Amino acid sequence: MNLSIDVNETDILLEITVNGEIDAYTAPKLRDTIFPLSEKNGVNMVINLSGVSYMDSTGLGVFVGVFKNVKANGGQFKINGLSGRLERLFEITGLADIIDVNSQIEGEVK
Amino acid sequence: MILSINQTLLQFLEFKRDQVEGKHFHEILTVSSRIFFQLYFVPLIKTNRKIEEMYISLQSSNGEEIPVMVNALSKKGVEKTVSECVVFPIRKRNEYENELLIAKKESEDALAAMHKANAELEGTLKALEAKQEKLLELNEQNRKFKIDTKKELELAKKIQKTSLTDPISNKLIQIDAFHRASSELSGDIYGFYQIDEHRYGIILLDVMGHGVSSALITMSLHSLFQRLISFGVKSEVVMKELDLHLHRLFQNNEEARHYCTAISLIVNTDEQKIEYTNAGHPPAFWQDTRGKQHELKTTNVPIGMFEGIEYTSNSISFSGGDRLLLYTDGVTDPLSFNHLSALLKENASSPIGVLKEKIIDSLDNQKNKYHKSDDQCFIIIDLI
Repeated sequence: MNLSIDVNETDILLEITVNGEIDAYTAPKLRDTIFPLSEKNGVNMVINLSGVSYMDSTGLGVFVGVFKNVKANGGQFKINGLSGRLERLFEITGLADIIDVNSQIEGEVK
Repeated sequence: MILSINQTLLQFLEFKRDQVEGKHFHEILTVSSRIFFQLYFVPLIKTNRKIEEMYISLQSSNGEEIPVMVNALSKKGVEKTVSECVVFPIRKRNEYENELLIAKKESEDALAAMHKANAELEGTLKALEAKQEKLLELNEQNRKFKIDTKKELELAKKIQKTSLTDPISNKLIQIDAFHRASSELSGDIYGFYQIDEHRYGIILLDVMGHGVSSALITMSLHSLFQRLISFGVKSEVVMKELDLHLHRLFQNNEEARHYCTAISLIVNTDEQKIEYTNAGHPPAFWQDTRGKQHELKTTNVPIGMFEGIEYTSNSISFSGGDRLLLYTDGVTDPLSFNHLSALLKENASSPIGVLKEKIIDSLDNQKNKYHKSDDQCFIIIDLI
């Protein structure tokens, strides 16, 4: 299945909407698109995964890498729109305690 | 000299009789025909005494050129020789001839174009044949490469299988496992080792992704965890060492970075205690003798993900007859957590081998229904 990534940047927020399935085949496209965006200083990045029907460990690895990069550059990182299954994936791996998932951050477009 | 001319030809030439009769024949000829007349007509009629179908151009009074066909017959009279000429206008024939010439020219041009196209086609055909030959050569190379790769992968698969430990079965504990790669090689790996008379070390790891890259990392981790666990190193220390190993492995290459979920246990059959560390791995089932199920949940994030993590362990006390089930997400993705839980419950009193077969059967039944393929691995531990 194809993966589509939409990037919407405002003065205060960088919103990235992902649709499709994230696996070993589509994860490189995801990494190539959003990793450079995480290099900006103080970026306020929100990833919307409400259109993602499947994600495996490869996708999780991409988001962890981006999260680390955003934090290293003094930014904020958040993932929202997680389905129950994806939210459980973050909980099982203990990442829900580290990465802000499924909560609102200041300036986000609802 | 024109001795006599009929009315039809006069009308045709738009001359009056007195304008031509008694005049030289040249009067009704075009300039070029006058030369032709002298060069061919006159000598021929003198020699053969007749002329058949000679083409010649007459000229009317207003200067119009009229192509005609002439038949002539020479008759010798008493005083002089007279030639009688019959003239047929051939304007249409001229047009037809011109059209024929144009058609001939066109057909010649078409023929030349066809020859040129043929030559180009032959050139293209030769180039195509050369490319086809090259393609066949590449196909052969590709086929050979595929065969070689398949052999290499089969060998690598055997090596990976060899690294997996054999089941343990004694009066205190039984441990059995299932391991199936989604392709030739797996990103899942496990090991269980008897540390001493009462202690057993067990570990199950799932490297992110699957296939060759993940399998390479499992083999890199295998030699380390085998040594650490066999020496009875605590589970949180095992995790810390594996974590450091992965960070060292990928310290300069973020793109190649792989992380790994893992669960490591030390079972003490004498104290009936289990110490475990769960590094971002799906929670293991612990089912007690009453059939109640507990989960050995995550204590830390996956290894190789964040630097400087201090791994911790939890401890549980078990009773004889308890059962543990450790698994990777390649098992619960197609089966679901609840299905696996139910299988474990339904087969609480079944021998370890029966439960193992039931889980494998369920996975096989789901094989065609679930569209994602991942490595599958689970370990069953019966505490006696």
